[in-house]
Amino acid sequence: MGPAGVISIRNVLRAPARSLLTALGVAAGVALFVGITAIIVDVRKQIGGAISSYNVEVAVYERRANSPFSSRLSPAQMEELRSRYGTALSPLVIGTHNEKWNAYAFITGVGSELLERVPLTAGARYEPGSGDAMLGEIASERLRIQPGERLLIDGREVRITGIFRTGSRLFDGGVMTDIPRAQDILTPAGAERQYTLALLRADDPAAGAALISEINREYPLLRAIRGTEFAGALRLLRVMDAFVRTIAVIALVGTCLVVSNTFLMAIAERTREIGILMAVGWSPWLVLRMLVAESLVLCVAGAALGNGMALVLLRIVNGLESVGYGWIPVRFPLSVAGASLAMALAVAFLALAWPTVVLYRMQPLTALRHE
Amino acid sequence: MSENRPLVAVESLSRDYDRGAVKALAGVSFEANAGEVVALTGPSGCGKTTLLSLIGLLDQPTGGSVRIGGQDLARVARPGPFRARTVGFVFQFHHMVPTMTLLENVAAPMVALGVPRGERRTRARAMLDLMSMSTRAAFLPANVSGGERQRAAVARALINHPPVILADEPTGNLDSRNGRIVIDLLITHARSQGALVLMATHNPEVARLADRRIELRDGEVVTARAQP
Repeated sequence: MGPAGVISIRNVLRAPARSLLTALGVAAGVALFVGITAIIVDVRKQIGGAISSYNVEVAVYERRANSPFSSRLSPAQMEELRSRYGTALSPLVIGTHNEKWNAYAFITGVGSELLERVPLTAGARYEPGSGDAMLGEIASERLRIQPGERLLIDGREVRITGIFRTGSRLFDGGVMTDIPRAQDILTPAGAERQYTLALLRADDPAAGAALISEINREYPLLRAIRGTEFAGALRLLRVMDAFVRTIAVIALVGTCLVVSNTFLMAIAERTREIGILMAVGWSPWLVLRMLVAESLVLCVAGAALGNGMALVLLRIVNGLESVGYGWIPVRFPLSVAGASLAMALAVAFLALAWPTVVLYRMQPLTALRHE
Repeated sequence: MSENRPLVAVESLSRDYDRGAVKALAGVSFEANAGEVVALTGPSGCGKTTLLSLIGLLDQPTGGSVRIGGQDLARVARPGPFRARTVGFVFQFHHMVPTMTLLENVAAPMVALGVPRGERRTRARAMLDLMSMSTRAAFLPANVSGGERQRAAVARALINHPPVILADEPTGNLDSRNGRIVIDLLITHARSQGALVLMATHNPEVARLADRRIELRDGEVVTARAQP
């Protein structure tokens, strides 16, 4: 670190309580941004990863549905698709169910063609029609349930035959069973049993594009999208994306105000010092450079602290029973940390806008006489 | 700079405050040459500090002009670098930046001129050495005595070899022994650099050390005379 850096640290440390509070203010903004971004990035990755792990080229869902997960496909529609696409088609039932062991238990109903491709870490696959189920690895660890043991699902004791791991915590925090059983659990009493999605495998991307075009043209009540676009089509994720952007702007503005206030106070307290520096020839630009260095110290420290706080926060939320498990990540990618650092650097500069105006209006003599 | 031209030429200089209600300076004129030590004397409020502030480009006059080396200060586009190059200040209260070491404080005027860091350190250290302060280079101002702070202030004023040194009651806050040390250092090193020293002082002993004395009263020059 150069002398300018050392001087900046000394200036930051001359009012330790205020500097700490400012850094904590930046940290709070960064933690908020990192925490929410991490959840959305992770959920998107999990859903995208789970769909692509089944080697699915095309996902078909109800056209009027807000998102693929709120889609309802009738048995007649599914039968029509099956008669046309045969074994390339895999029906899927997905939903959350309020269970005593998880308020948002993720229930997945898969047909035999997908079941064969689900990786197991212990036990065996269930026998379709047996009423048995497989438990995700995360749920197994949380509930301490091993193959052969039983779990209460929808008020019934269900035998767990195996433990699966898809790599998606969303799925791995839940239960997988056959389609009729999943429909039993997820369909309200008296309502018609329905499917959520139809997944179609294609030989190559060109064939997939042709399938999408065909379904969208010939089935006005259905919408077909690429498997890779699945996460992007989820309304929840789109809403959350907008939410993140809003939070990022609020965090940016909020932390800017905190840092700006700190530097306005610092300039007021150090007016005479600034006058001394101007008297010996420093231009307002040179003084500003010194303040920028201090602002960077505070904001980078705040960013580091904020990332740490976000990790702790995610771990706490992840452990909350009421949130359900599998949803909340306990880590986040470096790109999110990088984005938060960029945000903190932007704050370091933007927050000095007002102090800069004050600095440029300052007259050396008035500053020197400041009491 | 021409040999015949005065280094500092002050002409009909005036400075009003409160829309003319207070006249801090009222038409002050004098000239001073390189290598001179000029004492500005007079009672408190007579305009000594205002005069130094105007010559040092810390303030703008209401009327009249100041020229340094023929350059009209009203036409200086970038006052900061001009101050750093042309003027060295010594204030009554040392005016050190408390979070900078004495070495960093002494080097500060060189920052304004873009002197490279290594050269800044070398020159500042050499200047502190001249002031017999090399052992205090890494100290913060709060950790040295008032006399040492003022010696460092003298070092800072001389570091860029400015042609004009402006000293505002440089011994006003020191005991007589330290005051004498500081004034000797200031005059000796300013003379060795061929600089003009304009020094506001209440102290008759300090004023006696000057080559010339200009006495101010109510913002006007009342006497200006050479001293033996």
